[in-house]
Amino acid sequence: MVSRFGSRKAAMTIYKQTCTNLLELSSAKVTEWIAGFDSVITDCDGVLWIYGQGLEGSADVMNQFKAMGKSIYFCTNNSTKTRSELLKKGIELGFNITESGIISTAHATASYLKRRNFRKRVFVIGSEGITKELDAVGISHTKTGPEVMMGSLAEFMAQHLKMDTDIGAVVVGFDEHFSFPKMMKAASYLNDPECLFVATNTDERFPMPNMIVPGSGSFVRAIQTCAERDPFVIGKPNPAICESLIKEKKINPARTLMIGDRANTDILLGYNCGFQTLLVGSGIHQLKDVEQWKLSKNQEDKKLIPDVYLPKLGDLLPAIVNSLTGEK
Amino acid sequence: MSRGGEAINLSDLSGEQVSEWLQSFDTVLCDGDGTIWQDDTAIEGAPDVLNALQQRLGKAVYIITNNGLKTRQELFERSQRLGFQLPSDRHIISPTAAIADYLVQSPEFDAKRHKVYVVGNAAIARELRRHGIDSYGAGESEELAPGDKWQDFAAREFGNPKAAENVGAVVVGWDEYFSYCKMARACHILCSNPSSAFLVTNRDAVHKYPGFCIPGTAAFVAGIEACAERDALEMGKPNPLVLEPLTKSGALRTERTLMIGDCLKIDVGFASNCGMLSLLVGTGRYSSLSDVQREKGKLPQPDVYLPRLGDLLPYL
Repeated sequence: MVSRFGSRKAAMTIYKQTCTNLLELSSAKVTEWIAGFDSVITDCDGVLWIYGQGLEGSADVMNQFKAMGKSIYFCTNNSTKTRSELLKKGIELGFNITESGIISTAHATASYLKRRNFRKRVFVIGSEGITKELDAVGISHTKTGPEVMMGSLAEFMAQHLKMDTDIGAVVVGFDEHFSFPKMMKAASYLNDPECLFVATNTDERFPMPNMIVPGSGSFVRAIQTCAERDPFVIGKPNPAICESLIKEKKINPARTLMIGDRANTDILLGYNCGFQTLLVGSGIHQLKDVEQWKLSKNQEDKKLIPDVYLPKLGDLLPAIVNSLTGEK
Repeated sequence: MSRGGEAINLSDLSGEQVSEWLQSFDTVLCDGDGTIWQDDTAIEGAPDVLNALQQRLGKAVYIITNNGLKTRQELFERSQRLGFQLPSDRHIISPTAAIADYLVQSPEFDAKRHKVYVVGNAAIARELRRHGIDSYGAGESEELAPGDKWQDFAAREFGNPKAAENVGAVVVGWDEYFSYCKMARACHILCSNPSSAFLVTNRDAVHKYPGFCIPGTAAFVAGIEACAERDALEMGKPNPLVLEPLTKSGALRTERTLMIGDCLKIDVGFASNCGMLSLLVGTGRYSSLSDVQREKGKLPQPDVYLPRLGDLLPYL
């Protein structure tokens, strides 16, 4: 009995920050690894789907994990969708998921403000994903959408600039209508140190196949610069996004697996929370990136090295089937 | 003259010490706003001092400003209107001029086939034009059309390889029409053309006024840098790069050059970066020597201080 518990503990720590390729392990070892976690938190873009298309095998693997009795959470930094919109997308792509299994930065931002008893108004640089979640918890906010510069600065200030008087927070997320007027308002509101500055996430690029386009992190950097202040960041890699799950004992960090494609958000979150980590190569970061971090002298880079690796999540399916049928 | 990091009020020195100080430099670089003028009005005594430095003491005088909203020619015309007697517009060092000069002499930039994408004001386009360089985007608004989704905009605008073809540089200046579309376009060009130049006029973060804060150029370029994963070259003080044309041609020697300005971070910082002497005047950011000394340890300290540049006249 003692030796079985001993070997299970060894299985969990044996791969720590080694980037072991699961495809190079024996079936028995992968089965042992699968038995080492009871909860799975997974990133979405680049792991489960890319833009509108499911990644091959991802739904099968996640549904198998669920069928095995593991608790499943989708954790995305994408602030443009509400939880119910993400749920709809997940179900449409074949994932067996419930709304309470979705962790999104838009929802987490609203929860963060609610927990602080926020009573004022929020100036939102973002999309309806954020405002709908604020509505759901009864927090008032400005409207999102276009705010186009009318005329020169002088004309704008004389005729069009309208500042609200009860703004208590500036929230910045992804905003395709990002503009100078919004920057000016944000900088002005944030000049009051009492005004909160919250960023949904700091991913500088929005995950898109074949294109490099600005993400929330780029807008946040612009506001950070003219406000001369740093935001509180809700999303990965800030452990706050998983805080309630850990506090309410819904997950045990040592027996939780974090799956992601981006090391400086997903894997780093895993490191920060004490989770096991799996990097998949179907999105942002690749094995060659991990090689760089292994060689790097910067200690911060070591935190980006995952425990294990797969080219894509679907590659785990054969091993799961083996573990279910008891084959070695 | 001690350069031990403790600012000295020039008026506390003897006539002989001031004379010695005046002989320690051959060239004078002088800041604009807050030092010699406030927009279109000269600060009293400033024209007399710069003219005397040139005409009585034979110093080479340049005005060096981070104002990226006017061309070199326009700044020269202002200087003439306000009574400054500079020999030519080549004695104005400004971001638009530094940008144009940089591209003209850059081996990677070919004005015959390259154009420049500008996220900034029309002065940048005018200056580039004057140097035979084509540009687009300056002073223009670019927003998503009603009903247009950003994903469709991006696919349409950046899916076509011609979108970034022959764009040899992205230049960022102060832009009240800054928008997502412009950010995305700048990023696309920079990521598609790794050898393209990426230049910014200056890095003022914000301009604060009672009741409101106006974002500075640093904020616009920071957003683009974050997405493009490339840093822009700063074409204004305190980057020593802006003096390169003059130091390379032998027109000035930094160790025999005096930098006069009103801002510790930008002007005295510039002097320090270039190995030049520094004089801070109290007509801008700081209105007393004690204000200046309070920043010791946090911001660079000038060699000497004067309440106003005009106070130098009796010594010339």
